[in-house]
Amino acid sequence: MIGIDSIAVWLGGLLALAAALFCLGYGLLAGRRERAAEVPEDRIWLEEEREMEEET
Amino acid sequence: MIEYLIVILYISLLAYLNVRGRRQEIDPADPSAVRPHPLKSALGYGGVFVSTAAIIGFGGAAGVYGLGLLWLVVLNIGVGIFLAFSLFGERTRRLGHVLDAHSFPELLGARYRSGFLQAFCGLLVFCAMPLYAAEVILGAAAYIGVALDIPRDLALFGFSTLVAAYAIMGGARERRSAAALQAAFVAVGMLVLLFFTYHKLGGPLAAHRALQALRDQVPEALKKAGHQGWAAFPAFGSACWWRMISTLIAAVGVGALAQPQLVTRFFSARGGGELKRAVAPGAVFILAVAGSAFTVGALSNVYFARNPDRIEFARVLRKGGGETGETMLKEIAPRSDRERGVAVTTTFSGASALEACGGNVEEIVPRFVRRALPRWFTLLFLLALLSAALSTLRAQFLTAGISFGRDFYERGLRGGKRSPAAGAVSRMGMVAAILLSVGTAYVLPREFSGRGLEIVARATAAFFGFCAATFLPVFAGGYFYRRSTRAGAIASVAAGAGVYLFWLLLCHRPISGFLPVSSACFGAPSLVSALRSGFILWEEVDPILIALPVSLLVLIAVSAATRPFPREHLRRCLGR
Repeated sequence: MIGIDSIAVWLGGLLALAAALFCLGYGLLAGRRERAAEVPEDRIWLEEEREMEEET
Repeated sequence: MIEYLIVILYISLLAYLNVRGRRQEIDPADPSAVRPHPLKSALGYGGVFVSTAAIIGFGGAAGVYGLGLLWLVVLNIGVGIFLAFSLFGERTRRLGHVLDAHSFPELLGARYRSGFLQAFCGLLVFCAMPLYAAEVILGAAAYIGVALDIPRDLALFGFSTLVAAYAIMGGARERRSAAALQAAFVAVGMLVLLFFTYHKLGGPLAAHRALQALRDQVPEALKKAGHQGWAAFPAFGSACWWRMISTLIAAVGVGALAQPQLVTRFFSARGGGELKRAVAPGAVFILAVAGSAFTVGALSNVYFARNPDRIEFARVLRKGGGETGETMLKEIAPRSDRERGVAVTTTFSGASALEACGGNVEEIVPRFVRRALPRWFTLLFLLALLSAALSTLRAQFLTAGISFGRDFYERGLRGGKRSPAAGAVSRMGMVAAILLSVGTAYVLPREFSGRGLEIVARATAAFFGFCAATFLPVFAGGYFYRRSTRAGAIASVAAGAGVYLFWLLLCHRPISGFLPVSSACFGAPSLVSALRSGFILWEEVDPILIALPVSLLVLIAVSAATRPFPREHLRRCLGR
């Protein structure tokens, strides 16, 4: 009979796989979003930083 | 012949990439510099994150505690990769750029406007890093010793020389291509190892069924501590359960967020977009390397049970301490172990992986690879492990050196005045860190080897836990708690480090029981020996579970009682 302690182990393995798949999707989506954006995200950051530097 | 050709080819490629990388050095603080591809960033980060401490140390621990350690992979991916890159990475990159920080202590010091905090954190990093580096060296030396059939001390000496040459002659900047190649090699090596393991044991289903059926072969001492087989979690609230959950899983899983050598890697990222994209290869890398190592470590029990080997052991009675330990005589016991104490020879066949390796947890994966897999793979796997160890050690020694030279010496001792000697002091700090690490790697096995202790995994967990308890509240508070103040940060770091060390040295029996501090001061191996409240077995509770909440509470309480930073500073650091 499979007890809860064995199920917890299997759950760990499945969750590890699920976490990796989730991260894979997240990373691929981020890449697609970045390519689709008109202004690259780095430029937004640089502009924000420049604005802040000017203000301070 | 082909084996040696592969080794020469690999080392030549690594040397070429290092030389080429030297010509293409990038300054992390220069926003116009050409930045690496996210894949290279992720592999480089993963290469530093996962080392021989994980593959050999935690792989061996999985051979003792079983597949439940896969929960650490969940945390490594969820916290060490996803949260680190998506929540902290972008903010760290930006703050590092705005405040012109080049190291983790400098980032904290600039955020909280405290030279003392920078110097203090630099000193803590410099002092703690050799413990972790020693575990990486120990893991690599354990494999080299078994794979090449040479004494452990010789393997340690040879590998230490290689590490020193690689770290000192390699220069101060990162070689992205070499780091990415090393990480890719590790990932491929681990996947091949997993494939061979399943193949050897009759396929994934048969292998896991066989592991489940081995429940009765768990060593008696582990059974008494709550072990229920390698395909099941230990009994809830037992000593084994606490060791696995609080030390091996929680400390390492959470501690990955505040690793000084990992945080600085975000400084050279192109932007938030790149960091988010790097989440994908980073997670796949961790799954391939850590997931394979833990699975192979646990499944090695099936192989050792099916292929028992008669091995002679010596029961060593240590003088003075009254403790006994078992050391394998025939193959791995160093001569010094045979000479000291009173040795009574016993002989038995190895049933579990731990027994088959004479109680040396770090030898479970190396012995399995050497006995079960083809000779050519043993050598190829050696290269993969060297890659894993070298990339991590290089980052560790650089971080320790910079923490000593730039943060402690220049900021702490010279009050922030630029000193032409700072570079030389950093290099001296790096050399000192290498010597300390090698020294620790020599001493630890002499004290703990052959006693069924997962030295590498526990010491690695101690470093990760220490970093989490000391730096994580201040690091996270710097981004998400606008009310945090300089006094709160200093008090939090001091409280985290103090409480962690107190619990580790005086209360946490798996460590305090082997160190003389608690016994000498209080006449007991732990101040909370056998104390139990409900399911909490206090002597087995890892220090991170005590020190991290204390450190967080101190940050909040002291910050609430002191004056906050001016709005301009917060706006500069955190944006709108």
